[in-house]
Amino acid sequence: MTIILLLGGLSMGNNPIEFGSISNILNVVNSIVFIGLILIGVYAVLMNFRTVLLPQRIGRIRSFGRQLNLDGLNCDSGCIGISKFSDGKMSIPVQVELDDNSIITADVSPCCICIDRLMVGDLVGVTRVGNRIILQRASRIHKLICGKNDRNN
Amino acid sequence: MTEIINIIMLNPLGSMGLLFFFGVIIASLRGWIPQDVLPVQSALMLTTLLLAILAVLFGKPINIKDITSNIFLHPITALIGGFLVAGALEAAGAFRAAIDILERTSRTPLGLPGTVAILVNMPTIFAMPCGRILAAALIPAAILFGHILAQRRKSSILASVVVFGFIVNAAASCGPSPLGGIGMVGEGMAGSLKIPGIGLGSFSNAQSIAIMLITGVTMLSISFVYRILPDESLVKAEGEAEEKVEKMEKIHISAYLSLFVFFITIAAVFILQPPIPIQTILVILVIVIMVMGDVTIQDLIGGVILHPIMAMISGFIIAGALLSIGSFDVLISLLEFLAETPLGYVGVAVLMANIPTILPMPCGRIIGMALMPGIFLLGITMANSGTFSQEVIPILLVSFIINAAASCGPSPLGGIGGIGEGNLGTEIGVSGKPQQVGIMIGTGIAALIIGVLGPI
Repeated sequence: MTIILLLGGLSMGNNPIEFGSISNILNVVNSIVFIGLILIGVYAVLMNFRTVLLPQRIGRIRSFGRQLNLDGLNCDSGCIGISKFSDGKMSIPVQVELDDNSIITADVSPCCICIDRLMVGDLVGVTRVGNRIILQRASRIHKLICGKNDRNN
Repeated sequence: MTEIINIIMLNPLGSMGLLFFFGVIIASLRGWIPQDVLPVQSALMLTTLLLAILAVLFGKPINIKDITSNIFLHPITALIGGFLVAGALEAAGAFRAAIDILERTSRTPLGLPGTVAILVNMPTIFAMPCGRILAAALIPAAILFGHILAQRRKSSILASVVVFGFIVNAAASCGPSPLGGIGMVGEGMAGSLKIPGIGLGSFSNAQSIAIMLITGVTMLSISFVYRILPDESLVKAEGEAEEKVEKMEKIHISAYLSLFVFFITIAAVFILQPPIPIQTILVILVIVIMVMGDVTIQDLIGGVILHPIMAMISGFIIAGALLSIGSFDVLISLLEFLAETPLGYVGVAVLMANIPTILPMPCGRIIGMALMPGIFLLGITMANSGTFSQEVIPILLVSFIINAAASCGPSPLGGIGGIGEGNLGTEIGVSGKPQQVGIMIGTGIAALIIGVLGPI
């Protein structure tokens, strides 16, 4: 409530707080939305840093899709064959083999697939965010720690 | 030549800024800066740092306020709001509902060609804040319909025509998006000059019509000029797999409702133009979809794709640095000099509007945000030259915006075209040229629409 009053005060400048006016209430709502979106953006950026720099686990991409498909090991290009797996979703499921040889399904954004040129065999970091397991290309530090070449199956 | 040297000598720091900026862009595109080591956004951030150091050495330190004041929060918050809407729609199953509606449409008198026409334009109809959202969500439908069309007409090239038409449409769709699209920044810039008719959404229709033409031209050039043939076995296998999958899935009524509410809301925003910021409308829309589709907050956060946001911020930051050290003054002086050659102002404007597609970045927001102040200043210079009216500013801005928005399609640095190429089993980068042809023609069409009809 304090934040709402503060935002209301900020949005109305020097005018006394008059919550009876609809425009004032709208100003408060707009300010809350604006600040809320910025906070979500900051949270998303921090989460991104966490998934890149401090992933919970490190693994390698084994195949694209909900099922482990060893045919996928032949693909040598990012973006390849994602149509089979996207099923109306804006993220792509990927099978990742973790360091203890277990296989998990993680989600990766289409931007990461193309812009980061993710391919089968790439070293990736996986982090649980809410009910999703998010995948990001592992940072150079992790590659150095793992001491293996990328795409080394 | 002497005049160019004079312009450079007059502001050596600004000239160096321009040189570094274009140098980094070209070096990234040519592969001289390996993208897996230093992505273009990071390279531009380092360039900003370098420019800041150079500015100190030249005795004109960059004020941090100059850079931060160039980071416009409204488009960024609208973009975040747009991603939340996309996340809510995805979680509610609205994209699968859209595929289902397309399938049903193909059984109506519209038939398969009519459905394909709707499908390839679907990204612009949805107008998501990033084209990759629908490129990932609807590519199964594009492959499926492309495969069926190719089978029925006994011409495998039709699969490429449908897929790449859809891809270029998706790439450009972030231009007219009311959910934090690139166009919003241009509308804000032109709106600051109080040009009649310019406001939120005033560039959208011109861009949407231009995108339809970009799509058509790209499809035609693939079919008749570039002849991009898909790997038939791959397309057939994927098409059949999709047919089986689609038949098995059941879509809940809330998915259709979410889709309906989304379209109604976006249409209402454009028609009624309510005096409420778009961010508030988006958040209300998200809440409504969450309630209808039983969507969790984690689903929404999962919808936020950081690459376009980071691309936009890196573009704003480098633009702030270039503005601060006077690089845009140098650019305008150089362009004014060029305008005195047979190119004239029109030739210079055409060149500048097409720069994003000539130097295609993986996200159009990078070069879009970085050069938009320069394009705006060029528009003002042209309007002040006495030859052109003030309308030249929105004309130039809308052309540049649509070109920048679509430029992530043909980008060799992980452009959306790669999604189509990967799925069709074609050579990587093969779809770049037909897309560029389409984009360049669409850029001119967007300019004509704004020039002749005004902001419609």
